[in-house]
Amino acid sequence: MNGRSNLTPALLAAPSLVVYAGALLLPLGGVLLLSLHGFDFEKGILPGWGLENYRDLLTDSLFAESLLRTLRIALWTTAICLLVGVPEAWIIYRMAPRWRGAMLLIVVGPLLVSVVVRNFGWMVLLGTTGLVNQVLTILGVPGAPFRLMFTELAVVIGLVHVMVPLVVLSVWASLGRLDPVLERAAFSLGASRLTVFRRVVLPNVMPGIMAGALMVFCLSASAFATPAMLGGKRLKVVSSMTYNEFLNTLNWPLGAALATLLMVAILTATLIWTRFVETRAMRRLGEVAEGGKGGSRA
Amino acid sequence: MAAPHFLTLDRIGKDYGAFTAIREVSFSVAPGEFLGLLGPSGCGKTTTLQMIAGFEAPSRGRITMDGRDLTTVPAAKRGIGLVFQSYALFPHMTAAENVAFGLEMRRVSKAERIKRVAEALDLVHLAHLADRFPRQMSGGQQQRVALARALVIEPRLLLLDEPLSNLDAKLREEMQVELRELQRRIGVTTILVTHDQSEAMALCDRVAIMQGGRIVQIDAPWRAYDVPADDFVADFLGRSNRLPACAGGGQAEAGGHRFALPPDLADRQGDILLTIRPERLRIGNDGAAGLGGRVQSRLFLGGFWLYAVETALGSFAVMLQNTGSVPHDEGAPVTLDWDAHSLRRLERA
Amino acid sequence: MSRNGPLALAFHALFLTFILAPLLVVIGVSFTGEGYLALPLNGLSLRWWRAIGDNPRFLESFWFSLRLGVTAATLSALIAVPAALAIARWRFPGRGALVAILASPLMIPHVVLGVALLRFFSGFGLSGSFAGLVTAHVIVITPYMLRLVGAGLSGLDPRIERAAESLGASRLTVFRRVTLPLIAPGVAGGWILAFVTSFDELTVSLFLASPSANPLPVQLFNYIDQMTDPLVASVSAALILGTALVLLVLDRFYPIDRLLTGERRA
Repeated sequence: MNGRSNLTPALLAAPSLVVYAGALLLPLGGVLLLSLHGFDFEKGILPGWGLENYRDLLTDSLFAESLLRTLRIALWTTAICLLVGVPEAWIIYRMAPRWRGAMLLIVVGPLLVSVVVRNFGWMVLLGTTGLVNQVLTILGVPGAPFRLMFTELAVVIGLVHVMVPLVVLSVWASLGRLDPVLERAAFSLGASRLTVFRRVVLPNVMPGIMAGALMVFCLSASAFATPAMLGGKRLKVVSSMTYNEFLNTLNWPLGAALATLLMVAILTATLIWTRFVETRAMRRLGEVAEGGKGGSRA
Repeated sequence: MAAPHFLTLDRIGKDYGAFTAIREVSFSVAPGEFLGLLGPSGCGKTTTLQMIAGFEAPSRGRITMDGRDLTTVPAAKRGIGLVFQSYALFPHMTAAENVAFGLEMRRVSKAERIKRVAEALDLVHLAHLADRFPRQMSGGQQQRVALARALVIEPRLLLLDEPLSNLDAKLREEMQVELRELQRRIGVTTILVTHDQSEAMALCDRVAIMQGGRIVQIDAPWRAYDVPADDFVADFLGRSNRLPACAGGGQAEAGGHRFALPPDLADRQGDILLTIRPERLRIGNDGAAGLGGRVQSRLFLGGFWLYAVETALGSFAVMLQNTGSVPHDEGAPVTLDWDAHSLRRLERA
Repeated sequence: MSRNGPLALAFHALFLTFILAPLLVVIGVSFTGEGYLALPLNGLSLRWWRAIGDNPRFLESFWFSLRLGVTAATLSALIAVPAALAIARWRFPGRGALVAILASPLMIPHVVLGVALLRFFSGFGLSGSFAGLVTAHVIVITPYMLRLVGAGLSGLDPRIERAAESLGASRLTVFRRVTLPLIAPGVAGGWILAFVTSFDELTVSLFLASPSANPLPVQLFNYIDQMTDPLVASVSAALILGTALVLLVLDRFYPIDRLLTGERRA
């Protein structure tokens, strides 16, 4: 079927390209342009062009603070997700087949529950009189009850809950492609369990881990709902600042500049990352962001 | 060939960007002929088949069928039956529905369709499995369905792409016999692509041996086997032993052994490279006339013994029929002997 | 038989607790009879479950989200299936770029997408409308759709299509009679994943919603912003139980890892 007609693939791709051009590329371009306008609370968006918004942001200590917070939260979340998600995927992989399906369902199923609902669960758990503090008090932990809600810790916990299934799924997908005979071959050659994991399994699932890590970092850095719900109004991240400028302060040009910076930061991180990571997994459609559902989360 | 040509490939070539898959391929097929395209993987045989089927467009040259230029005819209009190595059965249709598909495309009436599907399945001895889905059938059965599906449209040309490679050895042999018999009976012109030289030799009227995007020899199987055009063909179609010798006066000398040359080589003088097939060699006990050597190893192959005999001229493979007599022991001194007409001169490639 | 040691199983138990805790606690607290989020429960009550029925705005939002999800997932399938075909079956210049563009919404922060569409749509009066939300959701969910349809296509031997063509079928007939029936599971899986993603989508919708076009997650988010009473818990619990039910039924036909990655279970 290759190349007999150059028109057919163009026709097939046309509808999606039209939709993407109209509802993605144009609007994104619009944000870029909007960010170059000035703003006045009396007159609204000013017609002139300039980089003032960016200058204002880059010299604003509040922005610097929330940018640092965003990165800190994203890095912690990514690290914890990898530390917890990779072994969990391996544990599920090693279970008897009849358990595997059920466990996977429990671990990955919450991905399909709205993130608002999941964050609400953490609000109930982490409140000053919430279940976590009640348990800590009963156990006699000194200092309990703690203030957990509206802290960076709460945001990281909430984000890990949202993201860790993605890591499990991503690693799981790579494990599925691993020939089980490899493991037996390694055992037969005298390798210990740990050595098999480190020398045989890990290198083979590395693409899955890397892809999962990138996805978690990007989604955590751009997350809005979890920081907003568990971090509260005072603990601003870049996303919630953007939201604020658009829907509360109504300084759209400044919000657009924030959005542009956020996107540039995320895309740069992605590019740098994929440079280092094997691009093999990216070649096949279906693995563009390997291991599942990301996007709408958090 | 005295018969008129049915299919002709005239200086066909195919490039993929800078890579040339087919340099130049020309051949003709007579009506009812069974031709084999034989070669190692990457030799261009499958690309050639795809171009005949209409799934790849040749970069150069012309393909004509029945005197008509095929270049602009789409695959769906060529009326060529295709059988793939993977069978490529429609997994969501039963055997009967698979076979009926081509007839539906030809708007054959339902009653006629039912009759012809039944006939086609009967032809491949699968009438009893008409309502099975492909996944409920064995490899051999799926293979037959694929064949019935290709034949039911009464194709003017049947293309078989490694059709038997996925079957186990015993079934493959059975299917070879069946396929040959079926092709004779229907008389459909057939082209078989395979990398298995024994399959091509067993089935085909002629084989075209391909290498590096061109045909190196096209001949009846036994001619190609006995008179290979070059080193490559000699090796590809089976084992052969090399015998570098010095010729003179209708005789030759190698490793201290003098032997007669066949009549066509009788007037040769000087160095000459001869080849001989393993099954044309005889092993004699030590002291008999012949090339002296020692049994290096022996393999028992059921009907045959395969010996490796070390001589002053290198190792010789010898295939002896298992006649029930006591075999030669490993390490035993022996002599090698042969008839003059078994010797071929090899063109130095 | 499990090949995991006791340490691994303990880790697994902790992991499951962590994953399930916020969901179970929501379900638990929804059965309180008190006027606040009381745990542990002093007896079971359906008071706040009945309250869902008395609050038409959650029901309205539920139906709105359902309509939104079905419309967006269906439109997404209509553009994604041809695009996936082009990518899977042809080699053409710009193919890599097409793949990258179609997957790009996965990389773009949803706040940015929301901002961009709000600005863009307000120029056409589309912001706060059903059409605007549908368009936004199509962009958000199409990458998932493409992944599953693409996975379905890559599992389909192109020689099966060639066989159909050699038997005289036109391109359209090959698609209708052979390709489509064989990728139907992938399309169905993609549709479900796309629907669920749309149904759960919050961030982009926040920018585009209006009182007359208010998806359930937005409704819930804004409600929690004002107050957290057990009504939130009962609505959330209903969503959790509903999702669990769908998931259990779905898993019979379509294992969840395949649904989410397009790959078969190991």
